[in-house]
Amino acid sequence: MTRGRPLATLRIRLSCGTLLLAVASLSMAQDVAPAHKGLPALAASARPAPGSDEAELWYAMDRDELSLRQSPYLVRDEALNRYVHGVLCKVTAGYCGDVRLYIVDVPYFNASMAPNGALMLWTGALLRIRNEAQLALVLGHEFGHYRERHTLQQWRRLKKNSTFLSVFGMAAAGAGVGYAGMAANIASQAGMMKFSRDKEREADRIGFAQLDAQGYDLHAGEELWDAMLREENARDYGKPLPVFSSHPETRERRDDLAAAAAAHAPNPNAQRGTAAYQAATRPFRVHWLDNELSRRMYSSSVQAIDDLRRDAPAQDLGLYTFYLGEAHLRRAKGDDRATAARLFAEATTLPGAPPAAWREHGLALRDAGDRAGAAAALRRYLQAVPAADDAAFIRRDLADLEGAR
Amino acid sequence: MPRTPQAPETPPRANAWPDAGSTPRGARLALLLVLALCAAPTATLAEKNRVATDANGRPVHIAGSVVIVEPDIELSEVLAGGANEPRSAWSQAARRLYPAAVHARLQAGGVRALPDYDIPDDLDPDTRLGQVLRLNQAVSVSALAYTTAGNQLATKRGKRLDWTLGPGVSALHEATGADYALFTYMRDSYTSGGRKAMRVAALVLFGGDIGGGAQVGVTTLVDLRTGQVVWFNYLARQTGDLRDEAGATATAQHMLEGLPL
Repeated sequence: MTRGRPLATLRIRLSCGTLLLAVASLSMAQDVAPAHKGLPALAASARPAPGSDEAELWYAMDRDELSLRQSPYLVRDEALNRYVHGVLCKVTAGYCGDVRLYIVDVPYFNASMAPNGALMLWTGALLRIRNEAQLALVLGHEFGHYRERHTLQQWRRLKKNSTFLSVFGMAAAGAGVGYAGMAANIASQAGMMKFSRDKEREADRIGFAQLDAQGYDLHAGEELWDAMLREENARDYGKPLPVFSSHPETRERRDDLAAAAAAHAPNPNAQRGTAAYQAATRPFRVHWLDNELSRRMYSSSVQAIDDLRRDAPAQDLGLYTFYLGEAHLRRAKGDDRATAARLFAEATTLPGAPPAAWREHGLALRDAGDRAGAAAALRRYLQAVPAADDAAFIRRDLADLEGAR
Repeated sequence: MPRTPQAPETPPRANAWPDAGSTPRGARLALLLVLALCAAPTATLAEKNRVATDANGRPVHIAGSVVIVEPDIELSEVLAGGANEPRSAWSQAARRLYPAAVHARLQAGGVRALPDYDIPDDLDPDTRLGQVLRLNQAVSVSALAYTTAGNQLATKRGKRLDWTLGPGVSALHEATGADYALFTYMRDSYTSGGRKAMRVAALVLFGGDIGGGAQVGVTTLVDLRTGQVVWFNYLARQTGDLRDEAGATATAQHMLEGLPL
């Protein structure tokens, strides 16, 4: 990555679902609709009954999927898709043919499941996940949404709720008490999210069961959520309001998973699949880390990358140390610049450091007045990537350092 | 059938993790159109129909063959509560009926239409063709946003239509052999029985219209030899029906009004 040149910024498109759910929530009622209990789980290879509302939802998602397949944000790398799909097939057991994997290049932790079996996994999740067991838990959770038809249940509930609110909203408007209507909207939104949180818990339980069935380490969940919790707490802004969170609070979710793991007899043969996971994702880490920093949420990036560095295999220490330095440098608060300079220096002594580590180390040395050291580091950078986008700038910096000026 | 502004709404996805999201089909375009619908009553025909001008400032006319690019059409039903539920059978019928109605219109106008162009389902986004199709969406959104009354760009004042997709459109020319491509985006919704009843009740009780379905659409005609957007139009109204042949013909008439034959 090059200083002074804007990174390729990822445009994150608002989900129609999210966006319009927000729109819909403006016309939604209090918690009046009963939960749709008794909706049976989908059988393997099952398709919705023709003409049903479920069939219409599948149709809409099939259309969305067509455009997703043509999206520039779709990660098409065969090896990565093969690896993740292999894990997906394990945790979905007999349903492997019913779910389709779409890895999407968005630097946030997210995965979603459409009612028709289209699973989206964002690269921000792949960056944060440490091993195959954690990946299996995430994919197993999404499979739970599919098998239990959570979207259909949520949609039916929304239809019922918004029916009620149309009446309520009309009455309130007619009586000139708009604020009452607004309060009802907020309550109903929280009510609907509660419904969704119950579904999240159910999906967590299913993910955990799949993890167990496949012999993965059952502590994967609490470890993943411990890291998420640390990152959530490190955020400077954008903390989710618990009442509007569609997910059980991270702490609660982490504790549920830890309790479930503790209740199981320890499995001495439990797999974590760390080496396999790291090998499959290593070729993409530079790109994912660049995108991570493009979020410009540096405090959470500092926390996330520091965490990754702590768990990193020796061969990746230089990579994470360099990006941790970058996160500090870009945040540039307090003694961030000094911390960054120290991390860049350290990175150049560790395996796996990208060439940019020498560039940043060189520029930091120059700023500290070490002209000879700076020149040596910049030369090393240019040797490694002579055709870098910023090579001309660095050559000029080098000429300045080596010249009489 | 009576209609009102309704944000086209798709079913929610079950999101597992803290940041929710998915990729919508034309969500931005749909929102802009809904906004246009709100402004529609004040916009005159002259303001919304746009034809590009030639080097001498005269409106251009179609000179060559036209291909209809697979239209992006989705129909839905507005349920009693206001939620829009997708309707596959209606949508599939509309995707068949609308192009047929456009063919008839072009034929009546003496324009030679080539066989419709079906966008490949697995079109690689990195191909020039994939880029041209997305560029057309982006340019349509811009043209729509900046031709509405009161929202003109300082560089595009007056009645001049001045947009281009650039010479990259040659990829579509090579794929179709046509001199012009006609692009169509349409979202159409219809009220259910429950919604109609509630709407009547609202009118009677409170004298206010809570709305029903809406028909919104954007169409562009692009010269595949130059990339110039030679004509642009949009629809945003509370009437119209794409579910049968007569309705599709009427919609095509409206949508193609001002086409520079």
